[in-house]
Amino acid sequence: MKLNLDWDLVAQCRELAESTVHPVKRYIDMHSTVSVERAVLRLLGFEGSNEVSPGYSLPLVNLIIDRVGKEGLRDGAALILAGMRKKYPRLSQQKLAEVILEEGVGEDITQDLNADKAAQILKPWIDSAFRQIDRLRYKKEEMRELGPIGRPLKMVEMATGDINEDVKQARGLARQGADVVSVVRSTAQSLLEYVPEGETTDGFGGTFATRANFSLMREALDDVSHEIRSYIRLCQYSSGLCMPEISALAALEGVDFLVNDALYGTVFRDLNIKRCLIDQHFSRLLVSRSGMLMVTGEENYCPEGDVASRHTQVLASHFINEQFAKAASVRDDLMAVGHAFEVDPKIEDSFMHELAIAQLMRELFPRAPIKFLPAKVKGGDVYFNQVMDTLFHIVGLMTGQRIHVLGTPTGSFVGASSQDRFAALKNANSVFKSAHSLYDDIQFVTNGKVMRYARMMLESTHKFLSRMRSTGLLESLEQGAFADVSRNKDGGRGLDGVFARSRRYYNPFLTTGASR
Amino acid sequence: MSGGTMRKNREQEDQNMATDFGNISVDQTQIRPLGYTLGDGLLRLSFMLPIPFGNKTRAVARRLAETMGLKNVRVTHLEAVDHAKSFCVVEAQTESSVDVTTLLADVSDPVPSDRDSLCHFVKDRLNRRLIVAGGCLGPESDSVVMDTLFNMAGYMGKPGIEAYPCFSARHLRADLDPQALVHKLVDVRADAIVVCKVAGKNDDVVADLTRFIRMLDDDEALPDHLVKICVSPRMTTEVAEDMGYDAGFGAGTLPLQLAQFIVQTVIERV
Repeated sequence: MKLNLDWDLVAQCRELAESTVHPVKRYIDMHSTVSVERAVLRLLGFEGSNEVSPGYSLPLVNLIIDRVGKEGLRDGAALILAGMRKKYPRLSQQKLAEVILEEGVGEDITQDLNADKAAQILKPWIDSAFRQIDRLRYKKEEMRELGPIGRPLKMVEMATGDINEDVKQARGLARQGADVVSVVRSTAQSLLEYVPEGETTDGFGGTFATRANFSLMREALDDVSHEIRSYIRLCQYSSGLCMPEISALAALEGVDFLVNDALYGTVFRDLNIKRCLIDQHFSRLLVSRSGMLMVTGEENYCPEGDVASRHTQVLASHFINEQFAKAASVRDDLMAVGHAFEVDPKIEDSFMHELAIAQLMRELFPRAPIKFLPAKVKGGDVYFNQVMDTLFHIVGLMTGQRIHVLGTPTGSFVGASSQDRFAALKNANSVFKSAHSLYDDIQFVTNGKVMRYARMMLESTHKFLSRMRSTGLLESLEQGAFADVSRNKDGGRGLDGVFARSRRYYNPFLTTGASR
Repeated sequence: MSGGTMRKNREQEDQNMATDFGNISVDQTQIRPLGYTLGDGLLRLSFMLPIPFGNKTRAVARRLAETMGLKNVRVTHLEAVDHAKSFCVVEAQTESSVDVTTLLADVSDPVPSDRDSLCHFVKDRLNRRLIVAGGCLGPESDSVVMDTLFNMAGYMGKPGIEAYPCFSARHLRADLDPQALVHKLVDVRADAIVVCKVAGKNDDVVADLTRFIRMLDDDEALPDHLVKICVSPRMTTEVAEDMGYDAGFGAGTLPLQLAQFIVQTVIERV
């Protein structure tokens, strides 16, 4: 520990965050959403889609949930299915779906059922989901032994919109030294109320998250991992209206990193906060069961305002996110909170401030592999941008970060030319090699600029969290606590998909999801 | 600033440029890049070749620059990228030049084309935030086009209207009764309205949007400078103008395009 922090204050920050999250967690435990129930169906083996009008198909899970209706869902989709399976014990998922869509479910279908009985009836389907998730977890753990070891992971973001093209590029990037391939989604997929099906080639500014796409990409990366004797990880995004479903599919297809952040969806996509938080909890249960790395997106709270207040918001959001993750039994070392490098060369000592924040994050979340991002906004001066990226890597190495998202001389990896990707990887490789042991040898001067700035930021984060604690999380969002954007707790997209659970509510993946 | 004074300033700048080299006068009819010495026309090119790195790579790089008409080509760096690609850096001289005196300065007064400058521009000119209201006449699920233009996260990595400090974005959400939407516009004192309508099964987008703009035109309480914009996945500016809107945007529009249009139109009108 290099910053000589006031650990009482840190403990208080955690307590404040915990008591801010507590009432919200109680609300979460009393509610469910249409997307949580669709995820349950997917885990129970319901797949495929039906054409609802010419040229327009919807996934079966959407059709089933719509057919059952929100009122009917209050007992949980699993309880209804248990009732249906009791009535038709021999039918496969596909056939059962057809029956439900044709006849609907009777009002008394769950009448003489309870959680125990339902668990018994659905046992083969539930077990099959857990077997698949656990099998992939062990596979990932084994393959991670391949490496790399002893340096930060190099993460590249990519997406051409066409999964076949993505796969080709991903193989190339892995051979050039990338460790994590992050597939950016088609723009605004987070606003869709269903997960598209099949291998897709028509994304805008990104590639759709679908089960077939996950599978295709993971398979290609497995291939290349064996070829180059280093495990290439796959990062996917799930935030949005289908967060639980995409998380379920990611768990079933062996995705390694998953971005799931309710606050991001609310602040940046105006999704309803209650909906997002309920969805996020279920998503994180699946993340913890499948041993995925949970990634958050608060580093985006940066468009305007001064750097210090942005950092305060980001740190406070990390503490909040940590509590939500703990509530879903996500392990400390599988929580990757995000931090974006911000140095303004026109401001004296802005590098020192960045150094202080990066080191502070390291010490506040010592086991978390923080996702460290380069400067987002770049102009057209490629030479200058290379300098900024080098400074970024140096700060990362000085503060012991474990995941570096790579930038390119023209901006991000998405849409960059092969020349720029090459330059970016060469830059990272050179710094990682030449400054390999920097972290071990760096100490900060007592009460020097770095230490003072870190302490100041911790104090302001503490103040921010105490304010948030007394105002309440949802009310603070309404007052524009994050990124100066105000979101009403009953506003935004998706609230109509939230419903209260009945006393008999049953979801087999809620209780056992975190049992490891 | 009028076009005339603008042009004068540019001419002034041109003359200043000529004196920046002290005693040496730069021939304004033959401007070319400056490298080691004035007028040497030095260029640096970096590029990737889809050939494996080998004993021919240097010759390929050199020949490429020569076929562009460049002189004194020097290959300063060669490197293998992977088994199929090579990276090259070349320095060479061009004999091309530009006659500055024959070029007209850009006399228009364009709205800046990046977010920061656009916001400074609004602050300089109007010294207040512009209120941009958005509403969807159809159901919530139809407002995706507009949401991507409004949300912080925006479209294709470009932040939406909410992320512009020069705007105050009022998302009035969906399923709006047109008359109620007009009243809300008055309430929020909108400078611009972005109305969204997506074709449903039995909907006529043009008819609905036309009905709405009549209501806008009839309402006396709305400001005269109100910028009226409609968005719909297949909307074009021609269709929109026919209906009486100031502009129409379709799928694939970037928030910045919308922002520039709003700023430009408001500035022309107030």
